[in-house]
Amino acid sequence: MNYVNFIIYSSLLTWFVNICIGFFVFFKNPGRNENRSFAALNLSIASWTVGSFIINIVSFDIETKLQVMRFCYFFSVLLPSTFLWHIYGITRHKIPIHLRYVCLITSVILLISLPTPLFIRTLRSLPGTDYLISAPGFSYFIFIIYFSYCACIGFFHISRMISRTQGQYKNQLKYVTIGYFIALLGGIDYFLTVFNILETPPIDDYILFVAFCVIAYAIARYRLLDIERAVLYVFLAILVYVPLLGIPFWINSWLEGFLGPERASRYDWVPLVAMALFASSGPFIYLRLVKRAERKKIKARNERLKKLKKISANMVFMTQKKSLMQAMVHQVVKIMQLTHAAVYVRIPQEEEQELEGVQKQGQKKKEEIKRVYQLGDHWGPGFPKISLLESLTEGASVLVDCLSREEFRKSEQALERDGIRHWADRWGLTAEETGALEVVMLGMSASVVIPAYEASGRLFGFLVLGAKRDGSVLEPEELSELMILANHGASAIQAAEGLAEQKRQQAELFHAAALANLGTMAGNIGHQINNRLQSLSAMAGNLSWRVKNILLKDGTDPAKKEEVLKDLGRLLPKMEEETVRAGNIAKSIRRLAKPEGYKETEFEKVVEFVQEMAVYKIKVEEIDFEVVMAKPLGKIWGDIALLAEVFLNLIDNGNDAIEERKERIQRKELPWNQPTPYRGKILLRSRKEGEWVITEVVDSGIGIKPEDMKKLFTPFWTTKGSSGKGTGLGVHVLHKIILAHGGKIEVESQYAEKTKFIIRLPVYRGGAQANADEKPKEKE
Amino acid sequence: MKKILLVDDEEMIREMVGGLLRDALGSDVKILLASDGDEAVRLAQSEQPELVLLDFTLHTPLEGFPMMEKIREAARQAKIFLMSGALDLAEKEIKQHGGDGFIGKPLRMERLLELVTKQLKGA
Repeated sequence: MNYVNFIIYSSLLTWFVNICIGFFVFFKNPGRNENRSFAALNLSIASWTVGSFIINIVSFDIETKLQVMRFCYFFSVLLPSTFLWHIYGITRHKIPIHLRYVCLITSVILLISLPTPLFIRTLRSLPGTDYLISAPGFSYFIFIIYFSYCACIGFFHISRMISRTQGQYKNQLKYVTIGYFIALLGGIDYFLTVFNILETPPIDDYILFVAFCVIAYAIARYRLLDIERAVLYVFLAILVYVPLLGIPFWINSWLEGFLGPERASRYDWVPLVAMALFASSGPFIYLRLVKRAERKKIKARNERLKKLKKISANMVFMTQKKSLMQAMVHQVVKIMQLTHAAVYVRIPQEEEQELEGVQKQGQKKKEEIKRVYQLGDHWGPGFPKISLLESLTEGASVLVDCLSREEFRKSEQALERDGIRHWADRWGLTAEETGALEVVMLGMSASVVIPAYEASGRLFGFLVLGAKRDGSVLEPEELSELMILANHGASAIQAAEGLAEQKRQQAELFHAAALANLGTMAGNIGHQINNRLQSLSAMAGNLSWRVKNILLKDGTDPAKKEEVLKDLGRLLPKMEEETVRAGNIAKSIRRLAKPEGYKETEFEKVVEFVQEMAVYKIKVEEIDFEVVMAKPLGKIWGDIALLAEVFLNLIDNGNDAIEERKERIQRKELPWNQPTPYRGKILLRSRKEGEWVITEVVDSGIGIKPEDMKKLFTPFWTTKGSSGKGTGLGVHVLHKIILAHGGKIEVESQYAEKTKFIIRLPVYRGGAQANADEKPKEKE
Repeated sequence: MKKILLVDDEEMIREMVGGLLRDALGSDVKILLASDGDEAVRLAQSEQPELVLLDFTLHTPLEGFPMMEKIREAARQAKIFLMSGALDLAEKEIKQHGGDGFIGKPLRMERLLELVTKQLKGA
């Protein structure tokens, strides 16, 4: 038991690792050229290395060992061409035709000479050990030249490709190159021993193992060949089996020191038995570790899925496109730990390439965090650091064109910057398009673009993802999750768009109805303004005549002049007052006619405005109109004009109901037993109750019959059809306005007694994202 | 002594227009003021004014054309001028109901004075 054993067993290790990886890669995707060539390369290396193991461990006679070695060299002859196949494959190039011929002819010559002593003369032991190695013949020199030539060509090609590429792909190639270079060092070590330049047994298999580790690292970190899982399993296998199988030998060689070589050789069976025992426990440990690793992976995946589910659930409640897009970007950046992300959605019915977008930058570096937070609330085209939109306007056509392609859509893939070259053929991209696409994505600092399509297949929009903050690569699982998310997002945005359109139509309806209502008020308002102007003109006319004919005329009675001056002092402030009153009336018309849109408003202002305008709706001489406010009423989020419309219309309805009741009492259709004649009353009462501002509009009018109560909220329903009234908004529209404000409307009524409308509006609590119609939904 | 009856529900108008007429026309013209229809008819009956300036809308039970007809009955020789801010009444309609002319509101004092002077001279 000496160190030669470790050299021998290293062959087994390399063989094992290479075989596992090779088969796994092949079966992962047998149709893919890279996978096939990688598998072939692995099998060649494995078969070559296993030769040394067999001839050194098995007790065949020397002639059989030589034949075994020759057989294993069969694969090493194929190794250079396999290497080229693989290198050209991963750089997505074809092997030049002349190189193919060189490989073919040389391989054939070598294979013919392989069974003869021309290639391997015999097997010899290395001096001082019983380690067997081949003694090279003439063909072996050809093989070395061929091997070196292919290695040079391969490395030259791959290094040229590295200088031409960027990003993840460049990193992949870099690690592959380093890995194979180390492997080459292993080969050189072996050849040096073969040619008797080095006297020690070759450590090439350990070097190969290091090379494998480098490639494995690239695989894990840069998702080379999609075999992360295979690497994980193989590593776990090595972690378990190498100590399990190696420890007995270690112990044995340690004991040798104590027992002496003779007694030690008597106990040769001990390590073998120990090995067998350990080996039988191996699978259990191995499976346990695999399970654990799997569980960890699954746990991480489930966590991510949970978060994604949450995002997608949150999206359902967002009805504003912009905030929806912002939330999506924000969450994706946060959950996927990205440097930045952006969402672009095609503007409906607009020019093909017009896109609107939101974007967010994550915390790329520590020093940038501060800046990002400062800009954190700022979304959209003005975002300074990455001008996605600017680069998009130029590159958008290339990107949108690629995403819109039938071939691309059908491949159901995300657009990865590092995969563009690989997939270009399948997506039907020309060389220029491929280059342009890479430039665009680089300009956007995008590593992945995830498209979302409409049901018709038209591109709806896309999600642009930056790099991961830790520099790693998005895993295929993550990408497929994100693709699902993108589709969810698309449908949510579409729904929001539909809602926005509906809202716009509703707003138009509200406005039209409000204008109609204003028309009915115009007579009254005009009259009021005219009244103000009449008294104003009377005062002005009176004063101007008297100033001219009394005050400024010589020889008039000083007492009279004094009187004019007095009147001037008394009347001018009155004139000012009248002017202001007329102006205020005019202002309120403007307010009613031109809705100001939704904003933060003190509810008291709404009530005061209603109170002010109500006098143009009802005959204050005939009806008692009272407003009661339990201050403070708090703030609401709404359109003051629309809300005023609601209350004014309810007051108007009350007015009509009172008239109706009055007429019926006069016609003795309804009883009236009070000593004083019937006088209608309308009461507007507001108070704040928890999260709601509650307003009641009560009238002592005709009331609503129980059978009509249900119909009250249906469109176009009115009881006023015959009376020529009903020019105002129906209760249906009022209900819609209140709903648009996130509120509720209820009605209680007793026929021939009274009607009470109860309107609840949510108290506005502020916040950047607050939106009138999102608020209540989030609460429910 | 000549008499003018001014009927308007707005106090400011009565005060301003009445005061001006008083100042401008001097002491030989008596200005009578009324704020509702019944009072106007009563004054027209008792004082028999030469000129009546009548606001169309008084917000009292008796207003408008019925009031004007009653005043016409009460003071046959009076010139009755109807005033209104809200409506533009046709001369023909006013004549049908016993009126003599229309003055739109807001008033221009110079015009009003001209008209009043002219009407008083003619009477």
